[in-house]
Parts: sequence; structure tokens; C-alpha cells
Amino acid sequence: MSELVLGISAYYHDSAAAIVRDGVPVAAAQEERFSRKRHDSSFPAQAVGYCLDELGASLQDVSAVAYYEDPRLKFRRVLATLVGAAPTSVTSFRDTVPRWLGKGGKLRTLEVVRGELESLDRGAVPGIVARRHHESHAASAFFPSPYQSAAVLCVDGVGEWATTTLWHGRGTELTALGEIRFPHSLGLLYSAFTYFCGFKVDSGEYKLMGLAPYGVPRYADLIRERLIDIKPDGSFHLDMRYFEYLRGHVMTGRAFEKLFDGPRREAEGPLTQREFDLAASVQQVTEEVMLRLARTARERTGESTLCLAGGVALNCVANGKIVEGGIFDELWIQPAAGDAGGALGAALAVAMEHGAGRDHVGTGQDAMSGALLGPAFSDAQIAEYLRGRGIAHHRLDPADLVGDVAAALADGKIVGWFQNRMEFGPRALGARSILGDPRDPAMQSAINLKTKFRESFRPFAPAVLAEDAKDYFDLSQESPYMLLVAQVAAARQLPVTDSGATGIDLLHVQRSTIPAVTHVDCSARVQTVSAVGNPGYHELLSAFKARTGCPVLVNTSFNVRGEPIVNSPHDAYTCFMRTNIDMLAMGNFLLHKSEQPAWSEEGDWRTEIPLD
Amino acid sequence: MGKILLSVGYFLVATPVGWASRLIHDPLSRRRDRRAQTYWSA
Repeated sequence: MSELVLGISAYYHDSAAAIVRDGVPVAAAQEERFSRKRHDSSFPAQAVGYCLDELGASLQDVSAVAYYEDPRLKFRRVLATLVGAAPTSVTSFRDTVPRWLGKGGKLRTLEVVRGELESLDRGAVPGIVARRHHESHAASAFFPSPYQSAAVLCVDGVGEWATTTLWHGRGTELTALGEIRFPHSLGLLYSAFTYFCGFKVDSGEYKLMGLAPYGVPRYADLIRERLIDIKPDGSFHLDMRYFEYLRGHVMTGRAFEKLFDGPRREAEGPLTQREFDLAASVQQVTEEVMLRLARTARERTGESTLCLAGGVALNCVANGKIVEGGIFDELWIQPAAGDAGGALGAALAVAMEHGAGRDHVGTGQDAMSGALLGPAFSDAQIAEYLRGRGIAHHRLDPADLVGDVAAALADGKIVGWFQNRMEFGPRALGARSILGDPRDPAMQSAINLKTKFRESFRPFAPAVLAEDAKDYFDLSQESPYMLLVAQVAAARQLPVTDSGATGIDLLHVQRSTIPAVTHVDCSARVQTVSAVGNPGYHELLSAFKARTGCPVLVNTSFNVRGEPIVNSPHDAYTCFMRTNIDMLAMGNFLLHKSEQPAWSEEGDWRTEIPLD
Repeated sequence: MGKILLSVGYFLVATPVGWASRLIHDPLSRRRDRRAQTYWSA
């Protein structure tokens, strides 16, 4: 008899649910994909419902529910912070304490979760247990990894007390080796700069990372001198006089402004050289800390492989530096490295405690099913939607569909690619993706400004056939989850003469044969696609290569700025019609924009989707 | 809980407790120990 464990993360950001069966992740999704609210933090009722539906199970069939952090321990940290910051934290105290102690407050989270599950009316709710936040991250990093044993490093903002933890994973056990505690947090240091540069905390960190190559790290020494003391073993201590997050709801204040040449950039304000340089500086310091932590992980465990999770593990540039540094033979990064992945990790931790095994170890594959753990829609369901709405479409054989899409891409068209089960985690990996031709120098601007309606400084990521990856990128291992940055191979780079371009204009200088996915420092956030991991996507890349000689496609998430990635055929069609996507491939159905009626809807959708 | 009650509790209880506890041990480890070889804790 199979044992099912349901994992839940909620009430901070990126709520999610996951189910593991005998220790294997079988269904997982973020609530935002159903509620259509980006980073939705509410109880993941729809995600839980989906996970149960996927298995045809009720809550009665689930042996335990695992919550991804310990609310009581977290409250002790919150209280210690507020009391410790007295008398300067009165506003924060008045706002925070009722949220924890009031009726249905956060201190009673497990009771609230029970009530929410009961209200789903999906059968008797089993026992609910809380795992620690970093244990959930560590479990999500190690148990699905392909390794029998590994060093495990978790780095994030904060959970209960821990902000950085080091573990040794062996078989079905994780042993804690050390931790760095709040308020000393690499994630919060990065978030402080994210905030200071005018982006949203817990959301805009990846924008700051994308901004870094435009700058010079002229503030890096100042950050090391004043903000963070870094020991040779990678442990660190922040000087809290420069941060505001102990006292209130903002990250930085006057001390930060004095140090970094004036007030913070307002959201959506113009980006100046200062923001570029701040981004480059904090990125350099983050990489330095991550490299030192990785060396310590190697020394203390003696392992040759490293597993990563926690929000900072989404910093694919730093991950790439660890690979480049040759500290470990190989890295494996949990694709849902942020708090959504905590739901999966908590479930895995409980499953292992209940005696589940890790049968995938030794096969060379991880247990994440390519992160394709979300809802799928059959051709019958897609046909019902299209016919119900009278939407013009063509039904094709799979091979013809792939051929037509590859031809359209080669012709410069932008294609919405909606196939298979939805990805779990923040990255689109070829199930809910917008695709384009990376050889086209105009593609980056076309997709950024007319399809995604987002900032023009952000580069796109390449999806490349795994077997051809080394011809295009300096990457020594696979990167199936787009969590490693590597340099474009020298053979694909083009000589660049000094065009005099500065700032964001640097992105318009062609530096390689695949300019749409090449950043200004010739780096790229690579996704390697194997026939085993995602056969349909692999076929499309192969067809594009057969037609053009290029085994690379632009891959960006199927959404517009501020919107969660599309989940259903309706979401996909709406996004297709609101943007300049030319063609939509949903299952075996192909939709051409030229055959669709003019799109109209009530109100202006652009004002209804909050900017991220 | 009313804001006034919370403010009173904050200044009469949380603030003195915070001051007193910082004299003995700062749970947030804000003071930097210049002699420390590492900031890892077990």
C-alpha cells in the first residue's frame, strides 16, 4: 500500500502544496497559478485540491500533512526581534503582535491549516506536523537529488531563526552540521539592495541579478567594510546599524542612503549607473560568500556533490560560479528552491521518517520528473475549451505540430508553447513557455516590450539540446532547471568593437550568434533539455536545429509582467490574445493569431495586473 | 487588541525587558565579536 504525504507552505509568500508517494514527488503546484495572484500567500486550497485530484485521492488516503515551518519557533524569533529592537519598534510591534496572537493568528497556524483542510470537504484530515523551515529546504534539495550522499547547503532570507544551514545528506538521512542565525542573512542583504534599487522584496531579486552585468562593482569593498564581515569559512555577520528590518517593515533607511550616495530609487523610476553598480557590487559579495560556503561544505562533509535550496539558490549566477570554481564535481539545485519548495521538502522529510526509500538513486536521474508536477490538460479538455469558445484552431499530428512550430520559429515568429504538466517552481521549462529564435538580434526587445511588457534590460534564457550544450556554452554539467549561468562558448561569440554604448544600450550590441539570449557580459542562464526529461520539448528543439542548424531557443515564462505563469488553456489563450505572440501550440492544437478575431475585454487588463 | 493597550504593553514591558536582556545576552548577536574565527553555530 502506497503512503501519501501532503506538504503545505503558506502565509508568507508563494504558497504551495505537494504530495509525495512513497518518497517520490508526484504532484506539486503553487497557489498563484490557480488564484492568478502572483506570489499568493493565502492557504493553497486550490493547489491542495489539484494534488489530491491528480492522484484520485482524498485526505483520508493521506497518512500525514507536513507544514513547512515551525510557527511557534518563528514567533519566538519575531518576539525576540521586536523586544530586542525596543524602543524603536513600537509601530512594528503594534502591527505584528495581533497578527500572531489574535484569533486565528499565525501562532495557531497548524490549527488554521487543519480548519482550511476540513473546509475543503475532502475527507478526514490526518495529523499535521511542522518541520523546520531549513529542514524543509534541505529535504527538498537532497532527497530528490540523484546522489546517494551529498553536502547540502540552504541559504535564504529567514525561516524561524536559521538563515544559512549546512547539512550532510546520506541515504534517507540529513544531519545538520551548522547554521547562521537571523538577523545575519545573505538573503536579506540581497533583499536590502533589491529594495534600495526600487524593486519589490521577495520578487525583484532576480531583476537585481539581471542588472548586475551592466555595472561595475565599485561598492563591493564598501559593502565588505561596513555591511558584512565575511570569515574565510563563508560565515558572516551583518552590521545591523545599516538595516531597518529589525525595527519596521522596510529594509533600509538613512544609514544606507548615506553610505550609498542618496535616497533609494523609487519603483519604476529611471535606472542610473548607481543602481547598476550597486547590483554588480552586492552580486559580487554574494558570489564570494557562496563560494566560501561551498568550500566549507566540501571540507566538512568530504562529499564531491552539492545540493542547494533556499531563495539564494535561485541566484543562478552564483550557482554558476560554484560550478566554474570546480569545488564540487557536480551541483544539483532544487527547481523550486524558494519557499514553495518548502511544501515538497516538508512532505519528503516526513515520508523519509516514515520509512520511504530513494529508489531513483543509481539511475542517474533525479526524482523531480523534470519539475513537471503540475496540472496537465488532455486534448479532449483543450478541444472542449476551444470549441466551447468558438476559437479557430487546427488539430495536427504531433510530428506535424512540431514541424510547423519549428518553421514558424525559424521565420521569426513568437510562439506560446503549452504542453504537458505545468512546472513546479518559478521557472518555465518548456511546458508553459514563450519561445523565439535566439539568432534574431531584435527578438529580445520584441518579446520584452511587446509580449511580456517588462523592463528592456532583462535578457532571456536559452533552452539548448543537452547533447549540444557544450558547443554553445562553457558548462561542465547539465542544467535542466535553468539554475546555472555559464558563458557563451568562445566559438559562438562575435568580436565586439567599442560602440560607445552604455547602460541598457549595451544589450543591443550583438556579442554572439545567439544575441537574444546573450547578456552584456556574454553570460546566459542555460536550460539543457534532454530527451528523457522532456521528450516533446526535445523534439521541438531538434526540429528547429534540423531546419536552422541552431539547437537553441529563447525560452521565457508564458505570462506577462506581474502575472503568474499560465496554468489552463483559458489562461494561455488570454495571454496569447493580449500580446503579440504569433502562434499558440496547446497539446496537438495550433492556433494562428492571424485567424483569431480582434481581442476585446472589459477594462484595461494592464492596470488590473499589479507590476512585480 | 487595541493599539493603545499594545503601546502601553510595549513601553512598560517589552522595552524594559529588551534593555535588560541586551545587558545580559543579545539574542540577535548584533555586537560583532572581532576575535571570532567563525559565525557558524552548531
